[in-house]
Amino acid sequence: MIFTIFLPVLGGIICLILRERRRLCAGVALFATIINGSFLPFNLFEEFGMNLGNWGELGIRLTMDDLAIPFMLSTFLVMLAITLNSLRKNYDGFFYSLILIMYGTLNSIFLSRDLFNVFVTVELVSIISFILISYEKKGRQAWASLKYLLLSSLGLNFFLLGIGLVYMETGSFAMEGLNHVSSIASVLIFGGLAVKSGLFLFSMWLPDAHSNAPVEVSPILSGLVVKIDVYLSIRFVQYESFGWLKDEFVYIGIFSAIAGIILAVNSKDAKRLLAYSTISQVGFMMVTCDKASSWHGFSHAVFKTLLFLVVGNVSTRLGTKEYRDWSGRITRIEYLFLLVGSLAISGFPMTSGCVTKEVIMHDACCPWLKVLMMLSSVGTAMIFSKFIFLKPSKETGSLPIGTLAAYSILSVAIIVHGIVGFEIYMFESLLMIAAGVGLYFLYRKFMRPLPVFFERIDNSLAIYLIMFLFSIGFVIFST
Amino acid sequence: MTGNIIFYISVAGMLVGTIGMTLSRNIIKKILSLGIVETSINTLYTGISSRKSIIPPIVNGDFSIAYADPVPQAVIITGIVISFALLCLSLVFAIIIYNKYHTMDIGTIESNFEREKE
Repeated sequence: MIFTIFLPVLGGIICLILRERRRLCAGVALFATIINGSFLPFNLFEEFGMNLGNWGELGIRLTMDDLAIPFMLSTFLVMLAITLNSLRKNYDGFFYSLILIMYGTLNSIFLSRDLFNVFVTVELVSIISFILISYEKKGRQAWASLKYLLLSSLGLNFFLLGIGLVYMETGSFAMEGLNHVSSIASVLIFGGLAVKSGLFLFSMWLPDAHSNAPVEVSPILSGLVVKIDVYLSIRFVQYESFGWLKDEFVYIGIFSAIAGIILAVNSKDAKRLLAYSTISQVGFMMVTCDKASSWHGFSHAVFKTLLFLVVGNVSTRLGTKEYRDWSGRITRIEYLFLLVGSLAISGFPMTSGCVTKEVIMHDACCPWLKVLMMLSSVGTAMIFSKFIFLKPSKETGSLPIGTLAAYSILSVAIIVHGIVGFEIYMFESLLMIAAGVGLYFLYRKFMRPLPVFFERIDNSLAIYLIMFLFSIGFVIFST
Repeated sequence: MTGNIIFYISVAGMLVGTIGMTLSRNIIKKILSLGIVETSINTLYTGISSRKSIIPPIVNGDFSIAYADPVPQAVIITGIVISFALLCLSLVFAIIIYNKYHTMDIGTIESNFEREKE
């Protein structure tokens, strides 16, 4: 178990030492990822717990349970796809070492049951993602990184204050202590992590960072870094002090799901559209905040990685991020994979998106919530109609072998998950897709990019603090 | 007693730093305010450990005295290293931005970006 954390980090150190031998580093990264993945089946389905060190209860507790399975699986798939896609790009060893250290750290977050350890690992993942966003050293990327850094480290300082209060009240950093802490500690912990979650108004750094990052980095940000907070929220909701959080997530989540769609429908830039769609999907996951949403996290990580890789590669090849200019220039094989990803995210039957989305909608607590969730599903189909109705060119085209392998692995994961989990009532999602496509053709003439008012650094900081105060008020009124 | 005073001072420092981050228009000032927030949260952890006593927790055979709690002090060393790394990294980004746009004012930089897009 501890092996899944230390093997990638060891690979990362080897890559750092051999940083000039580029081919060798790529090989080490691929090898470490595959070895780690091949041990996953043995690790995932055993109940497991250990305390690191000889300090008994003070040691860092690592435990494997049901909740961590989808996240560890998605980490493996995303990292494998990214390493395969980057093989022909001539990245140096530093890039691979960052990716591998991030892989080990993410695994450690999903296993750890110690609040301070969670803080350290979340900060490590954040620092690595700041470096990765500005890896090409463009001005815009540095700006996106700086914005993300300022917001995220402010939020994590609130988190640190929260776990300090937990230590004062219970005398330990173990997560079991969260059962009986005061609600101010719980709201600081939630509010501090929410800045990384990708919920609308809480994290408005997201569109800039996700759309300006290099091709291989956007999938990590959207599939894995955002999922840290989803995972931790689902984990924390199970403890008694966080009882209020489930009620708050119903409102914040559905608001974020709808708002993300409104922003994405009007966007012209393909990568920005995907970033806004992440906001919407995270909101969708947070509405129910239970085991079903963790599986939606898995399927979202897989199809969003596929979409970001295809869109990134196409826009590098054609030199433009505007999806309208791709019409007639995108080759058939690229269009095929873009179609698989778009259908999966809109919830077409026999794809993973349909399975997990329908389960979440089926569990919705009350009728108004179900209607709003159906609306957001219609909206998702509307967004991705933009990609579905692109016209492919006549030529079949060819892809580098690594890229093709990455796309195929992700598509196979989408389809296998879709067929295994499929149930007959899920055919109702076809209705929502039809409605979304119809709305797309009606609304197509009126799409204009919305102003980026909330994404300016001052406004995003202020709106985050306002939402933080709103959460505190919500706790005071609900208890 | 000492613990409580440190606690209130550091929470006040956090608020000051947060307000500074929101209101200042200069990148360097924003980074410095982040530094204030990080320093005050690190101070708070010493406050937590000194709630019972402020005698340093060094073993000398006599266990009857009330010691300061060593655990928060031990863990916050990691926190100090992290905040150091974050400050360095943010200054690196500030240097990259200054070399590209020759200004530290966020209003100018952001209006630059928005004009570029059109």
